[in-house]
Amino acid sequence: MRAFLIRRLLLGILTVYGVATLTFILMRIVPGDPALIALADPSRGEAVPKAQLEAKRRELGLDKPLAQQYITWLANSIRFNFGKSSWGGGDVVDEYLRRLPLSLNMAILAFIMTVLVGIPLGILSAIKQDTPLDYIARIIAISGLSMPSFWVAILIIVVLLRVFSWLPSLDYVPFWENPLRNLTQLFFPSFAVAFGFIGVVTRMTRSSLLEVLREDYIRTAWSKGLRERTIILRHALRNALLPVITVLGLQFGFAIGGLVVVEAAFNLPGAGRFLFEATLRRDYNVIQASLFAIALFVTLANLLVDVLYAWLNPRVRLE
Amino acid sequence: MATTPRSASTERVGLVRKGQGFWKTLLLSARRKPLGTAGAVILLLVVASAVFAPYITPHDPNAITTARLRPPSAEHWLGTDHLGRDVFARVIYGGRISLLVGFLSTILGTGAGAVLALISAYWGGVWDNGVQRFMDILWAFPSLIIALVIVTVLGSSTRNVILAIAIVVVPLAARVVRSQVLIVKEMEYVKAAQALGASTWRILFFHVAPNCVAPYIIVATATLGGAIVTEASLSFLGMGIPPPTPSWGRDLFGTAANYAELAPWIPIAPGVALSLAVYGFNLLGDAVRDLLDPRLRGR
Repeated sequence: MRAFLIRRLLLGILTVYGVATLTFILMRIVPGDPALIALADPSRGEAVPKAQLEAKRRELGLDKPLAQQYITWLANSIRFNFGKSSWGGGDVVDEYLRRLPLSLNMAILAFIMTVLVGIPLGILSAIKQDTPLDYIARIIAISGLSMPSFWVAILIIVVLLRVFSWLPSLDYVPFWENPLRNLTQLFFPSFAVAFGFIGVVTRMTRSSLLEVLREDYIRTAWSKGLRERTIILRHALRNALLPVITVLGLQFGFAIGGLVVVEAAFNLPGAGRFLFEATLRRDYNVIQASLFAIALFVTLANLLVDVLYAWLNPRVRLE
Repeated sequence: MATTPRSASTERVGLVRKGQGFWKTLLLSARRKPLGTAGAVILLLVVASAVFAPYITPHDPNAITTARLRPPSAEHWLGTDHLGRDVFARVIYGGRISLLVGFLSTILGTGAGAVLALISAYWGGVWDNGVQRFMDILWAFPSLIIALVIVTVLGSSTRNVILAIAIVVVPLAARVVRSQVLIVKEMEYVKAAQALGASTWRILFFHVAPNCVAPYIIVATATLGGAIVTEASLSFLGMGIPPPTPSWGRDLFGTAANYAELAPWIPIAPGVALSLAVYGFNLLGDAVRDLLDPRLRGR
């Protein structure tokens, strides 16, 4: 068990390091001189004095050899130092942390919705296989897979505006300050993020439960005369949920992509919209910091899933 | 089952039978796979309307007129937008770019992934390990974010969007094809070919590759829907297909809040088209998987 965890941890560190390296390479492929971009909008073709350009290059460390730039970049990212935003000029990490609570709040809400709706729907679909109920659940699941989160967000916005002439407020209220206002603001955006994952989880729960229900030990449980409730919830579900947990962990990364588009659609000032706006303005420090943060989050989530999985599944734990 | 012969319904191997008419076979497979057929019909509609767009609507999707924000009518089937452009024309012309980007990026990305996996899994060793770690890194990352950053760095153009989505798709195909290669290369016919002294390239492309086609097709069809969603998401974020080309994703951005009350057809029409197309691809992907992978049948 310990060896397993250590291996996973090392792999996670390798992933974050890999992402940091890839970001560094990517940012060096960018056409154009970063110093020039920082000083003037290249599309307008403004002339920048040579001395000023040289100073900027020194400030950004661009006059050093590439290997040295790489080491400096790695050392800085380990210390969470990503410099200043080229728009606004604030410290990137401060700005990021200010926007993060909203996105985390949405992610947690979306996760709760996915689990609370997806798993029961999948169970229902499996035990009522090939009935109208199953077909309804499957149609919900496959429309969840077919409707991109921003389109769900747009549908919600249109309905909210036409029926209630109301949209979620734009400034974030933390949950512990005012739970009701927090939920009214974030319920609909979180649902837009969750909808697709509900589809994935429903399908996975259904197929995995159907498979488990064909196992011998389930037949034994039936012949012992146990109630259906006990068989499904206590015997079958325990094994059927293992692949669902893996899928939930894998989907976490995709949820971050969902946060970016949904925050853009609802105009919510979260970390996702921060990245979206940074791409529009080519604010590379913000993009680098966001990528690093996302890599950290995804790696942490995968680690958590691995630990949970090992804890739930003795076959992995005892290996 | 009144019109189909009894023997046909018990036959499980394939859908096509010798001596059966084309239409009969088609009808039979439609009965057996109603959802897959629905997917195929939806896709046929989407593809046909995109290809024959100029024959379906007389309107130019980019023509700016003074007939702004008109509700749906006989003249403008889905109304007009804030610039007086015909929404129906934009929707069916928008299918062109979505399908083009979807197909090209899927073929490019899954093709590159498959070739990479084929070669690295067959040889194994350090090279294989390196490729695997790189794929893990790409895989661990949200695909939309990678595509978004690639397009930001390269600049948004149709070519770069296709390239970005293709890169995102690579690890998917690589993973699936790799696991198949690992099975196939231990097969006796591969060992026999090696014993006969066939060259590595010959074994790879004449013996191993053909036996990896089924999982490859499954992953490629399953990827198509996702590729179209990624394109729409990028365009929605303003980093995809540059204007004025009609694109479902771009036409959705900012229109919801502005026109929900005044002209709801503007945000709704492209979104419905997008979901329909993706829905069709997902249904078809499921049907193809069921057909080519008997282990998953009936799930």
